[in-house]
Amino acid sequence: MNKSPAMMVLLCTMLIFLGCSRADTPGSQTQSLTVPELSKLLRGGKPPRIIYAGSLLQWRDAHIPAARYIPCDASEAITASLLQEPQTLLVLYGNRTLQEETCPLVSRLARAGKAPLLILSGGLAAWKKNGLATASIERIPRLAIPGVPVAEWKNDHPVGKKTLMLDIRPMTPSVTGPIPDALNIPLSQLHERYGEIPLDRPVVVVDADDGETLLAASFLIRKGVSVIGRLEGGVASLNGDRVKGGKGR
Amino acid sequence: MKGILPKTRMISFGVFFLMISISSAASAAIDCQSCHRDEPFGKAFAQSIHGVNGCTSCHQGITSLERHMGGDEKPRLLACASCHGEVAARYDKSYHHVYQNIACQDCHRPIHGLRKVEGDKRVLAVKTCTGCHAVRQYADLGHTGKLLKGSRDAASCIDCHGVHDMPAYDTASLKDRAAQRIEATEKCQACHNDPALAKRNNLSPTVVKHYGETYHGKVYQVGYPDLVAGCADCHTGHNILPPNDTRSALFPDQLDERCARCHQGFHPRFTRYVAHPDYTDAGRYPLLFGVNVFMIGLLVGTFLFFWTHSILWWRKVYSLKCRKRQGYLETRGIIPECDAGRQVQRFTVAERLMHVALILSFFTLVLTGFPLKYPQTAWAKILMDLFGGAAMAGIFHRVAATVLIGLFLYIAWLSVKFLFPGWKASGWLGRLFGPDSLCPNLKDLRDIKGMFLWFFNRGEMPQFDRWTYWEKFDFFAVFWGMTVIGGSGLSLWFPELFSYIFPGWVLNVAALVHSEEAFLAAIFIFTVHFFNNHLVPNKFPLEDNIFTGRYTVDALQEERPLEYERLVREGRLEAMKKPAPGMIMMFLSSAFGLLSLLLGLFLTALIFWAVLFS
Repeated sequence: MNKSPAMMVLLCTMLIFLGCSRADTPGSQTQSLTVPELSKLLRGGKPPRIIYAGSLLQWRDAHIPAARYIPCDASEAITASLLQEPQTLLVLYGNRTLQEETCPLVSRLARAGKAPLLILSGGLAAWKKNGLATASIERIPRLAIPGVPVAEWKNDHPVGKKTLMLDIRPMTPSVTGPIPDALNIPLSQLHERYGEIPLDRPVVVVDADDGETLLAASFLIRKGVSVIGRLEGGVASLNGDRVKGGKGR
Repeated sequence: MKGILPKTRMISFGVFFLMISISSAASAAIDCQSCHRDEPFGKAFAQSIHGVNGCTSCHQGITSLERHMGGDEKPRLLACASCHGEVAARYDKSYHHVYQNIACQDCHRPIHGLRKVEGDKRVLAVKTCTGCHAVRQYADLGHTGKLLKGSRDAASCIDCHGVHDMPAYDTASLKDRAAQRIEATEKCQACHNDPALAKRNNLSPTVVKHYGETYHGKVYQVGYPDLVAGCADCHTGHNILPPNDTRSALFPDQLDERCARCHQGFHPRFTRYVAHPDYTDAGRYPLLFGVNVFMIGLLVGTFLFFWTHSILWWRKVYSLKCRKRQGYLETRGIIPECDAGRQVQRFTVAERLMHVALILSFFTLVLTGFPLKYPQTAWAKILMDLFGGAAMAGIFHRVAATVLIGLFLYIAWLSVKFLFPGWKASGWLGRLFGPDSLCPNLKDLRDIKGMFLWFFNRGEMPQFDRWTYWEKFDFFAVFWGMTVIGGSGLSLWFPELFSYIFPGWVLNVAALVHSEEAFLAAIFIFTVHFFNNHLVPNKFPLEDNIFTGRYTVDALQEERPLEYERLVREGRLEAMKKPAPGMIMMFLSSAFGLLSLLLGLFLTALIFWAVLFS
């Protein structure tokens, strides 16, 4: 008998805890989808609508055939248009696995109750790794634009004097703070904002991990910008990030 | 006639369309160059390796010249795969295609003036790669720097990364990071394990072997490379330079940063850890060499003495047993009779529980530790997987170690209480060397001599009191072992913390001592201790009094006559008499004891298999 109140408290605590964990963020409305599963859906009678949520430049460069481009920061009206056919499955993908923190479109669609919202696991990279073909509107030929190591950058290119650092990361809250004196134009906006880059200054392009700088730099050179290099390793190397979870214990 | 006419018409139409097609193809080439007449579409292309092809063999997808000229129809992406299918199939899954969407012509440039490669492809690859990848970082230093200076052994970019088959690792995936580390480490080892290459380049031919003898190398070999450092984690991928070069990742100033990628909160002297220790190199590592020689001496000495002791003992007892069965021996002597009605208490409940805890923790330590001692064996990988992987096995190992340390401290406390009952010091020396003490005394030396004389039929078997000399050795071996294994184990458990007390190379000493002492402890217990207490013919297959707590008065009288006489003389024997243990207790004791015995012998077989055949 003495144990009953304690058991009740424990049970209530567990229920509250479980209740809280069920009252989830929009993430609970999303569901992961693998490339073989998507291929199967595409072969089925009612193919899903595939949305690429990334940058226009990358979509024009290569995308999953039949995919449509909608930017991550798309307006409410565009989002609403996607929900007009409730029977059609929506599959969203990015270059890698889309994250809600970096792509507001995912949260917005999930909140709108389009259930279930399917996110392609591994994104375009996974599609390619499975040996599947991509389509291209206008591939940007990649130019030989040298990588600049961080040590070399710090010695030879003091930021703000002459060389301009162009930061193409999306400035979402989850992204590390801005780089001092750098110009930030997210890659998703580069095709319409490249005019803001002064043509008389040498430019070094930087992103999170140097994964997208070659595309951006090749595009900018075609637009007349004096790109002299890409920061090798990206902001990760600039910050000297440590390896996490590398220890066997 | 009716049948022939349509055939003739069909042939005529066929010839007509064939002529049209040929003329179209010819005119396509002419038509392309009539607009695209500037270089490189003219002479440069004609003289290129693809000069024999027409434009549309690569630029496919133009169905109407008019639509194309009107800007309504653009050619598809270059169709390199239609000729280079095998290479293209590999490239389609490689890093540059998957993550960078780099096409063939981005590297094979100028695509219209492409010539057959002349000279060393590995050198040309460096020039192509460093078009995008920093020259100073990837070409001027280390392997590639040497390659460009003429070394044929130094690695080029493509030797490590491949050309069209560079794996597309996802650095966010633990699985991919492990695969990446395995690939990089295997690439390094492929060359650095080659004695001829090492000799030509004045390198150590044993670096790979000695890496395999460290914690990093052992966990790597047992199948968990994601948990430890591979070659590139310390040496980096590119500025592979001698440690005294300021640009080297191994230069002392930079080594802190390398170690700090995995280890946090260490003293700078932590970096004095030897990542490729050669315990046989007295010149470079005199202390490691000395410790190694000492440990080998300890192992050889201990086993030489006790295995000889066990073999001689077995021979003696077995011959006595045979003679008794043959009817030549009438004495009850060595083979005690079972007297079910008369039992005496030898071990208390607490002592028996401690022994059970000791057995369980010891087996856990052996099962989780020895896979790292012999990581190259098949059974090591199976055991690691059984424990849920190296990380989980590490947790089991540490929990068992904590139990054992707890037992050690408790027994130390009991020893103090035994020596100083009621915190009174008087008579402590008498108790220390008295008959109830586990401390060796002069009688033990006489007993050792007496046993060997008995083995060779030169005397009677010595008469023992409460503790025999081999039981005292067992007890002190645990104390010595716990100090050495426990101390070294703690330093390996908290290496960063210990760097505030010792330099990093002490961890090398700790690893060696921990490993060799563990071997000594395991093999000693599974052979010598098992023999002395269970496998000797008069006790075979199991002496269970450590589990039941009791044995017969006859056994006491035969095995420990001095204790028996002392108990009778002091009038304590009657108080110690107890009824025989119940059936459940006897069954559980036998089952647990035999299972432990069999497991120990099985592990001994695995260990000897590893020593002899790995």
